[in-house]
Amino acid sequence: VADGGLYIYGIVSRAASVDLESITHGELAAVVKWVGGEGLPDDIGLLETQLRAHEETLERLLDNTTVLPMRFGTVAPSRSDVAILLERHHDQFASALRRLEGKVEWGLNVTWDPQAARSHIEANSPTLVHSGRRDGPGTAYLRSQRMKKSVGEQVEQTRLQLASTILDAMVDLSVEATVHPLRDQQDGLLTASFLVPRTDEDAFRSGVAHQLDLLDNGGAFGLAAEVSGPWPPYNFVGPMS
Amino acid sequence: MESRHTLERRDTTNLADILDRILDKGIVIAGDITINLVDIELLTIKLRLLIASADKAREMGINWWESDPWLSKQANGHSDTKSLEERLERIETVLQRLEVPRG
Repeated sequence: VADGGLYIYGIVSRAASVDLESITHGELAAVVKWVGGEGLPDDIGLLETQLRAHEETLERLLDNTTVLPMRFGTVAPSRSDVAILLERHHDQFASALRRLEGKVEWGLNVTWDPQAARSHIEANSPTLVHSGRRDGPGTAYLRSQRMKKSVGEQVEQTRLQLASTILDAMVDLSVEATVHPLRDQQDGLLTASFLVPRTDEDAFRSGVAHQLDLLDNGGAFGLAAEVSGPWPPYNFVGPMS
Repeated sequence: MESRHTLERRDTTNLADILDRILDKGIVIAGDITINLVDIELLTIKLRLLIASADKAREMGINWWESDPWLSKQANGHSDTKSLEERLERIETVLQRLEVPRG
């Protein structure tokens, strides 16, 4: 794309008032910007600029209307190509817009403290309390290894239980959900995105806090959550063919 | 309702967060030859590596990327590859002109 093209940020309803350049077809409008060869990311600096522009533009659109985000870096050679795209996928885009109308994406990242959880489990596990009997060194070693393994399994089980309980609760407070690979390798518990009606955003946010208070057992698991949003529905527009 | 457990934000300043949020997301039109998805895969991989390693490296006093023309424009003013290409082109043009009378 050496001599440039039309960068497509996203698709909105034609009825939406958008103060950006757009190309319309039927009920739809594609929000675009002409980028010369210079504007296309061919090095790290430009890539960062374009990434920020992509996100900021979509957020601006989101503040006023429903938007289908295009994959970052989508460039059409000409205006007529964009119109053809809208024509070819018109009904698909239109129905996606209807499905997402009045809804936004919220991100949730929950972390915990596996060490604290381990201590909590060890302290509360009657099966792991050492018997008063004197063991020989070999027996003691085997016992300690078995205990370690058993505690490790319980920690993992607790992690899954906490994650699924939180997920279930948040699924009830949203209309769609996507679970991602854990963002934090060490202390990650759950990383997910939720599609939330605008009218339910407060309930969603307070729902997260409520769940964590409920499950943390007075701080035993060191649960903490980062809630972020509202975002354009990046995770709720699948591939279209 | 704010709990001691939760932190809320809509932070667009952190590049690593932006990468996580928007890369590999959004509508892809499969099989549309009229649409070019700019080939950014390699660049984004390098950018991810850069973000992941920059903080660690800085702690160790390493800042090679700041002088790497491929990674940092500031280091060398303007796009070096481009000016090199242009210079090469000029030189080739001159050479061709020189060759014509001889040929």
